[in-house]
Amino acid sequence: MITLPRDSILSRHQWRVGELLWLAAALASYFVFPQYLALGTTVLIMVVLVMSFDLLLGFAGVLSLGHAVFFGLGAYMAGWLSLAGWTEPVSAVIVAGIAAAALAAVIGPFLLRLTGLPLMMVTLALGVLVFEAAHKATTLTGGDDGLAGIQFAAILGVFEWGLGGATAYLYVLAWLCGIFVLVKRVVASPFGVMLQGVRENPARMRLIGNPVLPHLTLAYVISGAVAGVAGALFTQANAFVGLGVVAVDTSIDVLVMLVLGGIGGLHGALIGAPVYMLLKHFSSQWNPFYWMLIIGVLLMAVVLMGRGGLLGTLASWTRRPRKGQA
Amino acid sequence: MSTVAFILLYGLSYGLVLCLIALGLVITMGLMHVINLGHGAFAAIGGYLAISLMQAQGLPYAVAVPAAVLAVAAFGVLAERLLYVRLYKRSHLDQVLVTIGFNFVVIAIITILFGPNIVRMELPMYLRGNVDLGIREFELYRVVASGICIAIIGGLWWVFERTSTGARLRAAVDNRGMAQAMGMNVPLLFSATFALGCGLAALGGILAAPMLPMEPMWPMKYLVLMLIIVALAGHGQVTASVAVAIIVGVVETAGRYLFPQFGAFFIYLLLIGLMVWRPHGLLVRRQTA
Amino acid sequence: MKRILSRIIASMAFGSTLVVFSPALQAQDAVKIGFVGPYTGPFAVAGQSFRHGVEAYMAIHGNQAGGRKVEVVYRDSAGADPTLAKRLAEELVVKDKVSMLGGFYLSPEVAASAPVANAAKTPLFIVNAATPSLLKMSPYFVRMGQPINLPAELAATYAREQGKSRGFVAVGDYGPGHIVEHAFMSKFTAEGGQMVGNVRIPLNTADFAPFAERIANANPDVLQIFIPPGAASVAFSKALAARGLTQKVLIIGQGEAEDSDLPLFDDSIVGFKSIIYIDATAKNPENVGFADWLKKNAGPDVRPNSFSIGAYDAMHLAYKMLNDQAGRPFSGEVAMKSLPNYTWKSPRGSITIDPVTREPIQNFYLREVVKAADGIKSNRVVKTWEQVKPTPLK
Repeated sequence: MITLPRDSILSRHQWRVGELLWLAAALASYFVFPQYLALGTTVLIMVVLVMSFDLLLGFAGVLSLGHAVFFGLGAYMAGWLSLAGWTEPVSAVIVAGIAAAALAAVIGPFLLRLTGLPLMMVTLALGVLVFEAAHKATTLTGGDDGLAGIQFAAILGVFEWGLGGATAYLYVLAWLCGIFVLVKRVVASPFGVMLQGVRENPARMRLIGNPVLPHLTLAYVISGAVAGVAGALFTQANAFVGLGVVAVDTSIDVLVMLVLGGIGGLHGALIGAPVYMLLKHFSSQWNPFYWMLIIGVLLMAVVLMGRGGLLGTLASWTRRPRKGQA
Repeated sequence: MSTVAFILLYGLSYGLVLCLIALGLVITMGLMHVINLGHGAFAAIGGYLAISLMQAQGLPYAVAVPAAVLAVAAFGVLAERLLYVRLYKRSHLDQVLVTIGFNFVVIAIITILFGPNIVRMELPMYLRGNVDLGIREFELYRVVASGICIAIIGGLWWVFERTSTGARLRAAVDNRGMAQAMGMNVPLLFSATFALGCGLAALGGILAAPMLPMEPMWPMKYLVLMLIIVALAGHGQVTASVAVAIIVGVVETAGRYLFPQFGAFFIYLLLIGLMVWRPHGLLVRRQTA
Repeated sequence: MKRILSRIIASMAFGSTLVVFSPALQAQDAVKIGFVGPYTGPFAVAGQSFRHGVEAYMAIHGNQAGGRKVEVVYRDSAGADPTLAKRLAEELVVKDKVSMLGGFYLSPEVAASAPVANAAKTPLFIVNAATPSLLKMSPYFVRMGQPINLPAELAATYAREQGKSRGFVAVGDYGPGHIVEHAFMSKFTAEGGQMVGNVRIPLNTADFAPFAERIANANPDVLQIFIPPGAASVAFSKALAARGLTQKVLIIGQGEAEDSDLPLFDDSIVGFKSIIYIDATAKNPENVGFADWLKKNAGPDVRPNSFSIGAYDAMHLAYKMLNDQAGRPFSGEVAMKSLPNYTWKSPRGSITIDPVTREPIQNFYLREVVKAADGIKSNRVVKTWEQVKPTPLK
């Protein structure tokens, strides 16, 4: 059983104070940390990616270790579009998202019949296969060297991509707001409620007449689309795409980020991604194997304490303890 | 002909060593129903410990190996009592996450102690060189390692299938509640089994070290292979594990020889195909609650 | 009183205008150079060597150039992700305001950083990355290492000179490996040899015996290898030895068995030949001075390698650029114009920047691993190709 914050489902689509504060802080960072905007842009992109994974794992209960496949497809799609001459950025992101959604729609019905360890293994194997295929297909992906020379036209014809990531930061932040609104709507909709039912008790869902597989597939498609969007944004921000976007490490990073932040409730992405990325960036000044130690301990502690990630743990400390709580 | 012999012999020796490591995982996962992604860490600790004992303490190979295996088994008991016991009632996801975290911690500690590069295992003189098997020459070490694996796997099979201890173990796997009701000390059984699993992992890691060199990322690198064997074998099955491990060893070797360009493709395709077809393992045994 | 006061104010005003309008009197800001490298992670040895080269140069030649103080800023790319290297390069330019960039271990890192160098007009010294096409991506790139096709072509020529006619090439399955494979195969066949096989080995391979078997079955008399140094090279060399290939076949590599790595190998590596552009034991004064510094400051067993010499030479170029522009604000464009045909004496010997390609024109050395009486293995130079001009790939 995954521990979730037990709040009212119907009010989920409304904005919470915490979320608004987070967005305000993200906007403020633009002015307060102008030298770190390249890092900030990457953090925001990871937030989008982790959010897509939360939809899959937190709400639909699907443990996939191959999520990087959609991120990577979106990233390469944006690269291909740019190199083929399609340099309008916003539409390129939408196309990338659609491509990733299409892939999810095709493989979902096969994958989602499985659960537990078999599902984990198959998604992991799929992730590895896609990586190997991408590595081999050097004409398509540039192989190890990646695709360079990617350039996108000014956003909305006005905002040029500059050095230092200033434009990219606000652009990604805008996308993030839009995606956040969208995902909140999905989660608070009847479909979202049904997804949680599927996650908690698939057998009962079937009994009351709700087919499980189509719902899971739709969740997979939406999740894939958002991941694809994140991938396209990544390519646009970096003007480069390499094999790292489809690496197994990326899939595992996404899982760890979500766990740190808290699974379900959409807040995991907002907390876990920045914590993980910033920790990684600043601790790489020391020995990165200390970083691995820190993340390993954090991961174990967060999960064992079982209160929904770092945020959940913090929340449970501030809440007054009820007598007899496990 | 020589090539076919190579692929078979090679794949067999590779598969047998993998089997030894994977068996520990099959047993623990089968008995305790814990997805233990940290199993590779115990194997790596075994390998590093053996190398340390030989190089830093100057112990001979024949002493260092059993010493390392016993040490890791003891450490396994400690880990089980402190960490794994908390995972028995958790969801699969939680188990995956905690054991991945455990992996990270072990990798970090290994790097701090031994550095980021590979550490070579020096084999004693009597294990080096080639031996003539009639059809072709073959590395002596691989022959010896295969022999050890066969002996141990055979011993395990005999214990599980032919002794009362084995019967009790299988009973506890099939129906833990009932076994406990019948008076078996299940926690003790779990600790002992986990120790056995870790010991097997350590021995497997030590035997594999000359072929798959010890480096900090070892636990994560070979984790996938072990998971493949476990997933395809199904829980708690010794016979199936041996068969699957040998198939994996041979397919990997054949793939590398015949289609080196495609590397691990075949094994992953095989995995996906088999998992979709038989999600609960190749040889399905009737399981009760 | 008023007159004295007004005179004091007037002289102060005059003095301050002097300060503003005479740059020679004005204190020059320190100039920063950003070095992006794998200081941690699987390639940490290379990153460490970058650092050694930089620190040695600054210790020997001082930390001033062109009247300004030189500061080096290091950023760790962990050799993991080209997009990270690009972000680090961007941060160095935007936040730390570096005037020059250097380092870079992997070719994709350089490719990803090209937009940064172009937008900021910052010279970038490629210390290690070896893909030939990199230099076309930015006019601000200059290579301190080698284009990877050169040593492969030299190996092919050497093999033919030694009378070898059955060639096999085994490379790691990644960009540089493919280039080595192509370069060796075309040169070997162009010179009359016959290729009996080639194999690309996946990078995460642990067990090389199947590949050794395949090579043995093709029965070559010369084998060109290109495998990442470290665990893979050690395991591969073991597999070749176990299959008896080290006795029968002329094996030529590149950086698989550098002096710093030799302790990892067993004695089957003795006799291994490799072609690279540095000679750790060279006796020219620059190399002797460099090697001495390393022994004293980096460790008694530390010898010059391609990474440290590359970084050392990058600093030399940086200092030259600064000296050329003493007293003026630094301009990357002007700096790059001063490079074509610039020659200097490096620890590796004489090196010149090719005017067309911005590649180095330098010596290449064929070395053989030998074992001394005290059991220590090292690479000994057997043959030298002087001042090899880079052959541009089509």
